Amino acid sequence: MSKLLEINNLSTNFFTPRGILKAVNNISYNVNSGEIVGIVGESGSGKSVSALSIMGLVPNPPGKIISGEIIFNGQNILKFSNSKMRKLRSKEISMIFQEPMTCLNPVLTIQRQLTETLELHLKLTPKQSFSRSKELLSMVGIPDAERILKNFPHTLSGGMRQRIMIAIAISCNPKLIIADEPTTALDVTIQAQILDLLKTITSDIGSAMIIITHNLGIVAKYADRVLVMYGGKIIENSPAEEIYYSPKHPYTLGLLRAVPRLDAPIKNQLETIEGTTPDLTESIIGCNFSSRCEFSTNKCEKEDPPFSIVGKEHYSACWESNKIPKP
Amino acid sequence: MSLNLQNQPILEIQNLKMYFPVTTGNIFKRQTGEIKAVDDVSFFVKEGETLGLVGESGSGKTTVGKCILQLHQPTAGEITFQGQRIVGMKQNELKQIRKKMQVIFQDPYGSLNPRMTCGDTIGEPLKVHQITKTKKEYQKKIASLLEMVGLSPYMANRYPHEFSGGQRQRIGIARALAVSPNLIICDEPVSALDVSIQAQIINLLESLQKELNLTYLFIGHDLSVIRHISDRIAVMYLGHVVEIADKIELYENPLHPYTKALLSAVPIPDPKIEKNRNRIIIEGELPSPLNPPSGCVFHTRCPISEPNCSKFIPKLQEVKPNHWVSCFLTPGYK
Repeated sequence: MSKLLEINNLSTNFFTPRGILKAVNNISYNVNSGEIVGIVGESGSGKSVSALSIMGLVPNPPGKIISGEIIFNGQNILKFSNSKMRKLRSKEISMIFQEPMTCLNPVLTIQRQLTETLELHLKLTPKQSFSRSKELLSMVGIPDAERILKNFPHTLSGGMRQRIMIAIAISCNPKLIIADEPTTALDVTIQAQILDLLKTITSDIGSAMIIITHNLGIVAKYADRVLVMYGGKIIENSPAEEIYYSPKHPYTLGLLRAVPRLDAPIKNQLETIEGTTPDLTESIIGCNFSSRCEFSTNKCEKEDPPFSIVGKEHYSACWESNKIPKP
Repeated sequence: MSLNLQNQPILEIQNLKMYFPVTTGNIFKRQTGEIKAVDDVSFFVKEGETLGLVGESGSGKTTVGKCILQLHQPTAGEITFQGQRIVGMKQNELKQIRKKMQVIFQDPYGSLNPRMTCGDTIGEPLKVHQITKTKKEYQKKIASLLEMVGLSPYMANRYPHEFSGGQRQRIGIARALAVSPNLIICDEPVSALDVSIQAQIINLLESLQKELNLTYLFIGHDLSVIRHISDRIAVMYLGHVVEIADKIELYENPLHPYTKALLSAVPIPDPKIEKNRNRIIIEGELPSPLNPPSGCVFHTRCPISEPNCSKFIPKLQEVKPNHWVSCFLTPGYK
């Protein structure tokens, strides 16, 4: 498989009145074409900002990509001009946002919003784009496309709006789709529908996908590889199977243990990760997880662990990675 | 979690209905319809247990909670708390009831007054109900409440914005505990929190229950969390309770097709299990409560529905000991 996206040493900072907030701190990862990568992390871990950095959508000011490169299809897109970036967005890389309620324009019909990308990027005539948008809506499982196209977003339910978002995202057959918490705002039964849909659609059009989520359970079925982020850093990167059965970072282990599982016997008490996430405006010496970590040693408090290989295609940033038990 | 089956119900709800009128017109308002948020719901909560009330958004679970707290005046039905009927009670009588019945809200950001210190927030119920007599006693009580929920007493002078989401939820819990209630209605207390914090709060709620012999009505949408914390579980769909059972029975032997679909949709963090799971995907979306389907409310999305399902309304029936279900097609349902 060829490398579609390569992120090297990317850092994104926000310049706030309280100081410099290192939202994304020196992260590197690859996405191969056709691959589904899950990025898992809690709020404030930098997972959304890393996605916005790829899209070139980090609000500036206060945010700024301060170093690193993002190589998409062999070109460093951080060097692209705004107009070149605009041609890339939606056409080559598209994004599905978390809140289907706020991400569609309330005063434009579904048709306007769907055909906009088609006419802009693929230079379709209005007639062609209309028939293509009907096709797209049936692809995402919306019956009665002609009536829906004339409607405004407020007449649709959350699940339907998320389907429209997906239809817009896949309209130009992009090579990479970034789905930022695509199902967080939806109910469980709808969530299952949407995730299955995303999986079939990406394999149909042959694109790669990054699913960003805070729930390790969601990506278990779909992802080929899983990255775990904590405090602006990627702390573990592994093939999906391995990360669930033999995690090599205490935070991943903690995440797996803290969630009650439907298939496991009921425990008397849930295991917790004590403490709270670090304040990213403060500079931290050593491993940023050490204060909450049960395996932490003196070394962890002094030196930041490097992101190193711990197994086949399995990387972890932990000094004590060989001590981590199975979940 | 110790459950004595002989325990008396502390709270009993019979045929509760909550309809919200829909009006049109600005000056001459006319009622054009009703949103049937809660329609004929009956259940009970036993002393010392946790009843989980689970359902998707729009299923009416929060409305049930608000009716119990008398924040909504129900359209019809009876709510009995510790042997007293509370629907239609006068305000001064309700005040006494509210001393025994408290609530923890979902949103730890919206449910605390940003202009009140954490100590004032927790202390307000103490003042309202005149629980503490002297100022010294008042401050001592606040300190002990803060310690009980895992915060330090010196934090009493801080304002909500100085706390993280998990800490704020702890303040909300301390506020509910201030009047030493018997029943706490927990309205999705952990759904706004991150997983690592969520586990801390769940453990706190469980240890407080043991320590203070509390009864919880735990409203939620996350079935794995509900399974962990509850003794019995009631599943709601579009204003109706479709199934009630002990937690082990419900998860091992769900009877209602909606419960089955709901359980199969919950993701499990294990790729091998996930890939071999038989998922029941229910098509379509929640119908509008303004115009609910005739007969069984679930028949429009039900994978096994029969023509009769759209004609008659199935009543909740005990098909096995302590297992209630409302579906015509359940074995044993008459």
